[in-house]
Amino acid sequence: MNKKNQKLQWHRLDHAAKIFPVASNRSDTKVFRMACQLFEPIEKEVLQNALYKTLEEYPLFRSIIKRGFFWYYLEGSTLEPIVKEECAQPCSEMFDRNVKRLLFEVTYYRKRINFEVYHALTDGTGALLFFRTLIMYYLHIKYEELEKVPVQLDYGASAIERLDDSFNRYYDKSKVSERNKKKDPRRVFVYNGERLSGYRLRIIEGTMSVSKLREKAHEYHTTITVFLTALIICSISDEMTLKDIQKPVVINIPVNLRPYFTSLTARNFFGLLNVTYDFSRQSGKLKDVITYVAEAFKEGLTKEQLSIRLNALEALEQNAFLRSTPLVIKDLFMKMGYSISSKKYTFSLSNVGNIEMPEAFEKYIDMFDVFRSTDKQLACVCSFGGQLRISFTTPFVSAELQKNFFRRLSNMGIDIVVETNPLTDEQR
Amino acid sequence: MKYCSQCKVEIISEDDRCPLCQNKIMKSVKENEIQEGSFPYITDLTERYQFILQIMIFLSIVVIVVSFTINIILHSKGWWSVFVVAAVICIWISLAIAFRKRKNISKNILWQMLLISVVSLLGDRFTGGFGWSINYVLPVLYISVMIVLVVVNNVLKLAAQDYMVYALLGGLFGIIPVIFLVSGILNNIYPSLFCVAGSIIFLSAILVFRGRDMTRELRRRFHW
Repeated sequence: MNKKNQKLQWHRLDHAAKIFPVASNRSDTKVFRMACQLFEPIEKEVLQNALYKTLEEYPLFRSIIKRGFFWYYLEGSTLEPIVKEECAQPCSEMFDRNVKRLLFEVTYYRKRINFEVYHALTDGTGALLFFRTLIMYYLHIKYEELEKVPVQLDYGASAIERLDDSFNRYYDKSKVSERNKKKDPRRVFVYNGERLSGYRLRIIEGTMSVSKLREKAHEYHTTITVFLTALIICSISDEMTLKDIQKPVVINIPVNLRPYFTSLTARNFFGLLNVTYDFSRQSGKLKDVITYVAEAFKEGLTKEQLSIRLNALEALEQNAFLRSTPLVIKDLFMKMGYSISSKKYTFSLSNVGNIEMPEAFEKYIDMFDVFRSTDKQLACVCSFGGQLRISFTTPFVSAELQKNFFRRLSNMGIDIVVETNPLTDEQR
Repeated sequence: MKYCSQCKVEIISEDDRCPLCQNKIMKSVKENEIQEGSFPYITDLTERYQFILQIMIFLSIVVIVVSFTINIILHSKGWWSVFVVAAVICIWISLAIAFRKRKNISKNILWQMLLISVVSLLGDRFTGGFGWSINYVLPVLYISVMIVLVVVNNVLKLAAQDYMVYALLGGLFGIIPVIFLVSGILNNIYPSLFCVAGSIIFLSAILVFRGRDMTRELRRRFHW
């Protein structure tokens, strides 16, 4: 028997992952990137070796996606990831059902290591585990003085726990009937404008001091996340016409569910929180927006609220009729469902939070950076070493929202360094 | 680092315009060192392919228009230009499959097989229905597909999960001519007979030698 055939691992896609093969296309690839800027140029060979070592610890990342008759699934492969110098658009298409390829990619450019992942494989938290391990191995191999420092994250998950499908584990059938509050039937404000050519993404990033930002947030008696969310809501409203004002602004916030339910999975496990703000009925003053957002966070970020959604979605998936529908048909319906649900929010904001590295490794690292693909407007936030980086991605030519946002911050006296991915005039 | 006095932000950029407001920006007085950007310029690779595609589209249109024109001038032989259009469409479908599934040869072969089956059945129907498709084309096609799959498999040393489904489907298609045999619509039963016999042998070889791989693959593909 062929050696390759022995013990072929395969896994069902977790609940959140199921939508991604259907929803991803060239304009929204469902790929996200984590980057790490070091102080010295990257060495390709070292990075390649570090990648091999990391992959041994996270074998799930060697998976490819296959089409079954009823569902897509993850199947182990013997493909080897090859480290390359960055040469493609950020967050380019990763999943192609006709091509057998890994669902992540490691590239480098100057002092940066880039790690791009297809969202069906894992979420931000899971990818960050892999990425931090990769960086540690890289530094461990490269610098002699780190040789004796163990490459270990402060993270006690066993190999089985990392593979856990936590959506399934915490699905409570008896609570499916609990429904979310009644829905607002009005259409949500969604920005639409001229797009960049060739499915390009515009990435605009701002780096600022965490402590300065925290100070500012504390002036409004709130946290950084609430403060940033409120600022984004106000920046969106700056660009809305009088007609647009009639529609509510909805900010979609992915929430890491691991702290709420006990889970250490390296696969997808996130929920969503929608914050709706209505400028036609509410004042729109920053202070009021902050109070409102803080209240929405407090209400939405409870185990009970988060599990309502989890249960409803998992119940849909467990539905016998839906399960026994062939994938070809399921694809169509899921595509329709996805396009309806994606019209229900204006902006998406992911906060990856503070990225922690073991102390010995910290001084070799300049900055982390996180962003993801979109066909709407979104931002990802992460912080490291006292610096916070907010990365806006957009397929649109207009950068007005970003301009409003950063000007609001700089007018409050916060120093910001802005960077963007270079595009030639024809690419714009 | 550069500075935009309108937005009051520092900017890392080789450009001389602010990425936020598109106004001219100036060098910051604070620091003179040039900060390296985090992203490379990306050049496009797709344009060359686009040109080939444009030529092919243009040629197809020319061929269709010219054949209709000639057909109208020499209309004595009937509407043969319709067949030209059909042929052009078939070539396009076939090329599209070949291109999109170029990384998965087994899948490609099966799709091409399906296309040829449909085309020959339709072609047979519209050229008088002599039954050449079911007498010869389909059985020979299915036998060849099975042979090609076996060859591809052995040359590329594919793993079970990469060939099993396609081999099974190929084998099952080979059983189809049994319908022609039983219904007695064939003028020449030999191609169909060999095809059915061949596919039974082919399928049983999979079952006997790769039975466990097969059940595993089916369990994966049909997980509920």
